[in-house]
Amino acid sequence: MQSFLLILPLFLYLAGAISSLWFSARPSKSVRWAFGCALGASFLSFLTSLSLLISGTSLRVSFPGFLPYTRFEILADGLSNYFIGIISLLACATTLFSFAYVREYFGRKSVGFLGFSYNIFLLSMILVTLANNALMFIIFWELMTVISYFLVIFEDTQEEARRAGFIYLVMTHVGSALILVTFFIFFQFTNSFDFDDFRQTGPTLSVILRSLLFLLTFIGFGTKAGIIPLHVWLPHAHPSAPSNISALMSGVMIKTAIYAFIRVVYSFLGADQLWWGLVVLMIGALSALLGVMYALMEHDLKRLLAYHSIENIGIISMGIGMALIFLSLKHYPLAALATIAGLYHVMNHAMFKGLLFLCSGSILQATHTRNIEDLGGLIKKMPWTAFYFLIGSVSISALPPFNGFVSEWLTYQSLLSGGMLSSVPIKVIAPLVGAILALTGALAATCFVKAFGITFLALPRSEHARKAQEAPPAMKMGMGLLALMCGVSGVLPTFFISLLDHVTVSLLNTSVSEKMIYPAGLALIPVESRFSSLSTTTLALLLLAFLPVPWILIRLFRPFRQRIHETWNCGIKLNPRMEYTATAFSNPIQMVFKKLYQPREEVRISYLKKPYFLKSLVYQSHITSIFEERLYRPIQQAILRLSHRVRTMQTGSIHTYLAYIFMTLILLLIFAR
Amino acid sequence: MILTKILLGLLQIVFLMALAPLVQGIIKKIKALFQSRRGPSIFQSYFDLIKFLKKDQVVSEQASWIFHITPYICMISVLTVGALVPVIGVSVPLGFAGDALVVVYLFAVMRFFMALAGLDTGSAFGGMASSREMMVASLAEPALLLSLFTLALTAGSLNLSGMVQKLADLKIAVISPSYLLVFVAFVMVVLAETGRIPVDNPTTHLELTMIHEGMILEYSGRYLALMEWSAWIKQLILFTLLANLFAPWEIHLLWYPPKILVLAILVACIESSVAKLRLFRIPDLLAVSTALSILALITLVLKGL
Amino acid sequence: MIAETAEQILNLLTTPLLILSLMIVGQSRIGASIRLYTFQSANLALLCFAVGYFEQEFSLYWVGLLTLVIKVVLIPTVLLYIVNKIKVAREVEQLIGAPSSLIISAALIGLSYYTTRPILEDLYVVTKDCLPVSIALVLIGLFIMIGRKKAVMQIVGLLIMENGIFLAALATTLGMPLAVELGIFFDLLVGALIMGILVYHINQTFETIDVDKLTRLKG
Repeated sequence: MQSFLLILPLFLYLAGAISSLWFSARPSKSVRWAFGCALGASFLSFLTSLSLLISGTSLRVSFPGFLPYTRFEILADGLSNYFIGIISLLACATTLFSFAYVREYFGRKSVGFLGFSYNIFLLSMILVTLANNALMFIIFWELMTVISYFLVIFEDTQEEARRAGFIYLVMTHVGSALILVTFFIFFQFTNSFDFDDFRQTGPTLSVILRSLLFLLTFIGFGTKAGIIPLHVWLPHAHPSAPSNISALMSGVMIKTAIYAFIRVVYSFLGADQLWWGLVVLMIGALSALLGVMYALMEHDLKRLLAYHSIENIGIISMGIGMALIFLSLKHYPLAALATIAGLYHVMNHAMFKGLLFLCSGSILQATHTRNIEDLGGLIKKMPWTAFYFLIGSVSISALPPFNGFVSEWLTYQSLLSGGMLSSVPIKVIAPLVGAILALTGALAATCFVKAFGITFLALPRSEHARKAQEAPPAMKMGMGLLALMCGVSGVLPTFFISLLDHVTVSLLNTSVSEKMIYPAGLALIPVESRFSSLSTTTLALLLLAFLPVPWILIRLFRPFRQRIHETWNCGIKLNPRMEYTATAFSNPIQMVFKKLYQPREEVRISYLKKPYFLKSLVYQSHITSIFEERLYRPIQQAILRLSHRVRTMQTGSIHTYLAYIFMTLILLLIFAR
Repeated sequence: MILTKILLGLLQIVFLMALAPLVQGIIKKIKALFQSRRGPSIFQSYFDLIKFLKKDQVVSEQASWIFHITPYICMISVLTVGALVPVIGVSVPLGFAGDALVVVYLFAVMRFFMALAGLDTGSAFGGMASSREMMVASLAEPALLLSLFTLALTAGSLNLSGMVQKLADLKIAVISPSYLLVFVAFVMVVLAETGRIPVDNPTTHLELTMIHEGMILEYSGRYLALMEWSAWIKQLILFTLLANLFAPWEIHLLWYPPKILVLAILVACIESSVAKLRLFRIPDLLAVSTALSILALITLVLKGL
Repeated sequence: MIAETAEQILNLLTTPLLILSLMIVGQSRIGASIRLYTFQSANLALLCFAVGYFEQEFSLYWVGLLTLVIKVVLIPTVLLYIVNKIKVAREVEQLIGAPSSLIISAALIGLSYYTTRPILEDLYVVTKDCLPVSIALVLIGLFIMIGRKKAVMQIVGLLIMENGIFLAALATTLGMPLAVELGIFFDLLVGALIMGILVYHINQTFETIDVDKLTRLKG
């Protein structure tokens, strides 16, 4: 029965995909079918995975093979169920949102194709987390990549989208190649592509080989996850896709890489090397910090969010890195704590980043611009979107009692638990990474003050923003669901931690929920020690309980009265051009971190009468993206140079090609003898 | 039993609320004395508050609901912090609800909404102040947390009451190089967090250099009362933290006022003897603070206590 | 006694295959090359009949017959027709001169004997001596494709390669199942036809079938 419920959504997705194409001549019918099926399927698979997770069972379903070496087997264990739960939950919200959002494309683009890709995209993500065979995994992994490529270039009339798609395809395929190599190396030793065999044989391999496999896995999956310096595709690709797809890509697609990384490193490689954890931790810290730094300088709303995905992947990696460190030192409960920190952030990021992308979609639909410098004052036109965006901003800035805070708190706890180990380097590094996390959190808050403030507050800065309209109900429902989740997973973390406990049991054979949830399910503590505690439930109650205090204070002496008047502006009537811009807002940070950003500024002033009366002033500032210019540009140039050399091989003459084949054949004959 | 505990907790909050304006008044008075002025009475802040609470308020026509909820949020978050911090006793009844991180992040909630409110009315002053506040806070945060981490690793607890208890148990042994380094770092951060010279000038009301005042420029009347009051409570809480973490002896009602008084004098001295830094020199100050915390951490790890 | 005789006869029959392919390498006229290919195919058919006779495999008679029909009659006719139709210079136009081509081909034959020796030691079929010859045919066919400019000669090279592969199948497993054989023949026929048409169209478009001139097409 349960396995039927596990499989049924997969077929529903297929049905949605096919019916969407079938009705593509009639967009609104196609939308109903595509997203209706997707909604049903994701709701169903959410329920199934939740019930599996609560009961702590794992399911195994085998199908007869149709390819050599491929036993088509799916395994829904704790980790898979957890990820499926997140994917499905986010999918529910984005699907609700999509019903109304895709109307944007009616008559412009093939909505049938969008519905098709949407369903297949969800299907492939779920199958990636279910696959219990390396070949199957690779097939669905590639399907996911390719279908998301088509979604990135969905608005292919824009040059930007095509370029983004290209970068995306190249980068992710480099990653896929490394993953493939990893699996083939496993195959060499196991003679099978079954994950079960990998699990058995993997930990027995030599340390050097396993370290090599670890690096391959880290780089391979890291490319998809968007860790720095492999992130370059992400800020291009995520914003180009339609917003509902961006939400899925940022919210869950990059997380499938985290899933796979955990699976390979924890289960197949038997994490027992200290430096693996250190590498993941350091790269995580770097990604978190630089991700948010670049986000701060970004004024394209969706690109800003995309950079924040890099940041959050960094935070997740911090948790996973600490877990690997603890694993190598055989501190299993602490490893479970750190794993839970990382995995909880996976879910929380999916919720608030999904929410923020959906909100940006709503803004995009209302104003047709992603540049926040052209927005402003939307809070009056789109109060609901503003409210949801605020919830998302508060969550992503890790402000209590919302969910971002809880998982960052857990991450801090695992870092500080590292600070109490006996190993001296870890003792210094872990708290320092904690400081980086603090800086990241504060900068994220700054960034979202900017994003929210410039987009929604003050006066509209353009005609588009003036004419904005609130999103239709379906979109509000999608956003509302995620906003609710942000609150619930923030205020009631103990429920989710006990769910995550099943994951750590299946992953590490360590149950920590009893050690973490104390007393009586009210507060969280970092495993054994009474090192610290957190109860967001109590915090939320306290915050609410204090609400009457200011309310009474305001009415203490006289009834509440207020007058509405214009903003004080040195006696001049306020107009949008006087408002602080996003560029100005983030300029102090740019000045402080000049070394990193290497800004190129240009000021052009023309005077009516020097030096007091300006006719016009143009200020332009560009930051240097060091990774693109210092790392990828040289690589790109080297490849181009090499290609020019190789081009001499590529003569276009059939004879030369035949000669290559000939030479290969002869060499093979000689060597194979 | 639980009820008395909760009542005690509430009492502590009322105590903080009541004392906060006084501390502000004392600092002002001492600063006035430094400047050879008589200065206002130390109770002037109470009179100001009552005055503000009686006044009608003027709200900008551009203001949205963000502007209206911000005073509430500032107040409730600072009161919640008040419930978590050990003030006149080591144990805090509601201390299990959050540790030092929660304190820092609840202050971040305050700041987040204040910065939004600064942007809300569309005036350039508000935007400028918000931007600067967020910059200063972003740089102060790692220094603050790192010094708290160092203390937490010294004490083996991140919960404030646990931390204070352990530090008190160490008696005189607590005074170590790392502890002193943390103290200096912490003071610097507190100056930044409370908007004091050399970071921000609390007495300015219409200058291009104002940070905290700029953000609340559009507030008047009762909202202003709430904003000012919560800022003062925040200041008192930070002083309390300083007092209880760096003088963890004799934590009870009798010794609390002298400790806070010493801190108030210290802050007033610093404010009177140092010039305000240029905006882009502030990061240097905070970098020094961060560097001191890192040094403290390293000495802690290498040398132990 | 009979087995030895059979082996001897088969050996005798395979040698002309090599000689004929060497002659094609040395040949400078397209038409003559195609005719030499015809002889080679006929030789192959004969070999087929012989193996079929010695091994009592009746299906091989069918295969031989098909070889005769397709490789000896149909394909050469098509190719000759195209060559006549195109009416370009009948010279082969070699990239590598005839003498060095012959030396290289000889080296290739040596190589194929060298590489197949370890396999031959474990092979116990009457036709085992055909294996090196077949590899040599494949290599020479490929070499012809490389060394000749005219597109028609590429087809001839491919056909010789196919003869080699056919012989390899015959040598190792006494021919593939008839159904497979049928498929291959059909494939070959259609392939030759299509290539012929292609060559014709290349000529129409570029007024040459010199594949060297096609380098313009590269990006």
